[in-house]
Amino acid sequence: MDVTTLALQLQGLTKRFGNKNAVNNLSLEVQNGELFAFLGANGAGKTTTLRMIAGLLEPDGGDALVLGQSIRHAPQAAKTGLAYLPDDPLLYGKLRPMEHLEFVAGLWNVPPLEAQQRAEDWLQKLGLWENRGELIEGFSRGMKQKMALAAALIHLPKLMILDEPLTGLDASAARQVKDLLQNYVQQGNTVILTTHILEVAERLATRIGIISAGQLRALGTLEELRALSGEAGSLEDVFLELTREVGGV
Amino acid sequence: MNPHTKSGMRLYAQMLWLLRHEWRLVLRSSPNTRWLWWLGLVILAVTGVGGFVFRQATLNLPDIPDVLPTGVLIFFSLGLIFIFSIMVSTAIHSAVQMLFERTDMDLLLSSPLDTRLVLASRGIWLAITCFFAVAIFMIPLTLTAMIFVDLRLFGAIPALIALAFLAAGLGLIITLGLVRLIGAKRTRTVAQVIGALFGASIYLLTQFSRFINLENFPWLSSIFMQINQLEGNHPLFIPARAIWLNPLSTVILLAFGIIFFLVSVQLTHRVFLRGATASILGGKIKPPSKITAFASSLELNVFRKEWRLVLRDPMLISQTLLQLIYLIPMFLAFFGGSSRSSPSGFNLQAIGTYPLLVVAAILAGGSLAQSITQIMVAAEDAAELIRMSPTAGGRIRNAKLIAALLPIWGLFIPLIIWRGLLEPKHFFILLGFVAVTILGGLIILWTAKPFVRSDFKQHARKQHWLVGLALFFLSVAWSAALLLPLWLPFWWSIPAVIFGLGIPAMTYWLTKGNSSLGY
Repeated sequence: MDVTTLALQLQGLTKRFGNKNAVNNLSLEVQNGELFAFLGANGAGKTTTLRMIAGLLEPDGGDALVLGQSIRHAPQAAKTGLAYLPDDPLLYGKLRPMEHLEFVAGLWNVPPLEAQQRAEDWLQKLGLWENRGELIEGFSRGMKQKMALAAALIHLPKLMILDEPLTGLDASAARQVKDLLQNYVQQGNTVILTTHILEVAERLATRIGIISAGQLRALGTLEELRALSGEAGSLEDVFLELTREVGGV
Repeated sequence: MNPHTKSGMRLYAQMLWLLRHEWRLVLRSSPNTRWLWWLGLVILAVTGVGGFVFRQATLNLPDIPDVLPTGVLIFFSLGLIFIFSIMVSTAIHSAVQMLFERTDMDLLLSSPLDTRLVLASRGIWLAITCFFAVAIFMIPLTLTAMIFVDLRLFGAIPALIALAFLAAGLGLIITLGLVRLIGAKRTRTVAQVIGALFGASIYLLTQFSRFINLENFPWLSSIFMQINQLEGNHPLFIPARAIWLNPLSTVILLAFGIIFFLVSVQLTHRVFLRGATASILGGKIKPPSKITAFASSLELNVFRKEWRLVLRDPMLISQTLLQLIYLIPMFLAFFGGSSRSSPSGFNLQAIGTYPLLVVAAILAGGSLAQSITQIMVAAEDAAELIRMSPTAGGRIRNAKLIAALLPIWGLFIPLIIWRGLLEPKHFFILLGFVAVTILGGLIILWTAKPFVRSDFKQHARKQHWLVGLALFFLSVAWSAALLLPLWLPFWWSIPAVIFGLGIPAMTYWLTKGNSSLGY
């Protein structure tokens, strides 16, 4: 496969915590323009994998290429086109939305005028414009999640990785985020997300990867996974069937 | 039973329940309740030893008159003023927390309990907090004084109780007065600052008196003269006489304290209800803020972000401001010096204000720079956000150091230049000041461990002793480099400068310039 068409390439990624292999020789390729769902039970190794890709954890083995750039050998270049949204949003509570976005845009070296315009646009699109005078610490969980999303989008990343982006969102906010992600992918960008809400993955994802005990157990479209598991039902049934074999869930 | 007695008993039971509830909250809000047991043990031990010593002591105590001389009463009064300033500071700090930060307020206010009782119970706990803030040193002191001087000094205990009620009442009035004037949310910041000012007020007064020539303020000297000539039975000395267990003064002081407290509860009740509701509801919705143009450089961006975070944190402001307050007397050195001779006969006038300015710039400026650098560099709320960005962590750390130092330079450098224009040798201070702020900041940068912003005070205490020692010797070395030429040939400064550069070099070598800040 042509490397330039790959948004993410994991090459034998490994991470150990003591004697435990949290991620074990994980290899995976995600193409540009995909909305990839990364599923697994609690403790399966999803977050550890994502944190290694984002450069927050040093891998013990293997490498992750983000848009063709190695996170180990060219971290600055790899991070330029990447945005990572952890499940607990990284926000400055004592800043106002525009101030927070100003700082994040500066970190990604976005020209100030452009950054200011984008910040206003994202706040309006995400329904936070009316709250621009308030400190982020007073926001609800859903508003904070949307704020973190706006910050992730401020440098228009080509690859966006989201860990449980819909946790704590009400129906309307969840819908808003899902629509935004779909539109973002339609513009040629790539989204990788983890979620425990399997209906979301079933409805949004172009491809799904299932991880268990730090290893990739299954990979493919929903149809391919159905064929693999022998389950014709929902993604939930397929997931349970595939993870049961290794004692998952 | 008549209905009035019944209602009285119900109120009494409710008050007891509320006080027990407060006690539980105090226990739960304290991560380590062992200190309470230790405090109790210390007080018990001191009382036990005191009692034993008293039994053994002869009763041949000097004959002390019933009415104390004015000098002693003035001494007692000054002591009480000092204690009262600590109590008021404690009351303001704690009132904000007890009235607006406890999450149980909505439950209590929506219950059938009398809201006046809720406020009064919080107020009583405020008084208890004020009492214990000074009891830790005043009770052992009083017991010792009782044993070795006179049993009548037991009067200090009821006097402290009365002062605690007065301070709690004043704390309620100041805090809730602020709520009425500026709203519940802003009160948090302002109250912390006022509390810090009260805490440092006595220190400031004593320091200012060293710089102020009373001859230029005849009205002030006349007040002091009048106080000196007062009779011992003057009403102004009621609190001081209460310390001596004068029955009438003790009763008056206690009654005044309790009545003042009850009146303050009555006066502030309405504002309390309004303020508590506002804090529960999160206050008024703010109008959209004015948006300033985004920063054109990373350094400016970091500067804005760091100062916004510091200035919006009431605890940090009060802690940093408290440090600044203690430095104010040193700043006075920049605006003139004392012409008095020291007890050793060393005339400061002969060498001018130069040594005072060196101390002000190196010690005051240096320590302020170090604390602000510590806050900005180590108390990073979103270290992972910085780590996942393409900007190198080192660049951000340097930008933070610049952000911390610039305002301090802005504060000190113009003053030093101004003094330098008056007397050129003062320009040397500039060199030492810039060196000590940059090098001290770098030592912090290389050695700091991450901490949560709200733990600043505790974190500062936990600093590794080697780092503290390095920073101390850094100040000593640069002070010596600037002061030695006053008495010795100029080249004597060279070893001091080498030492002053060697300390950060050694720190860099030990840490390899690596940061453990997580970004």
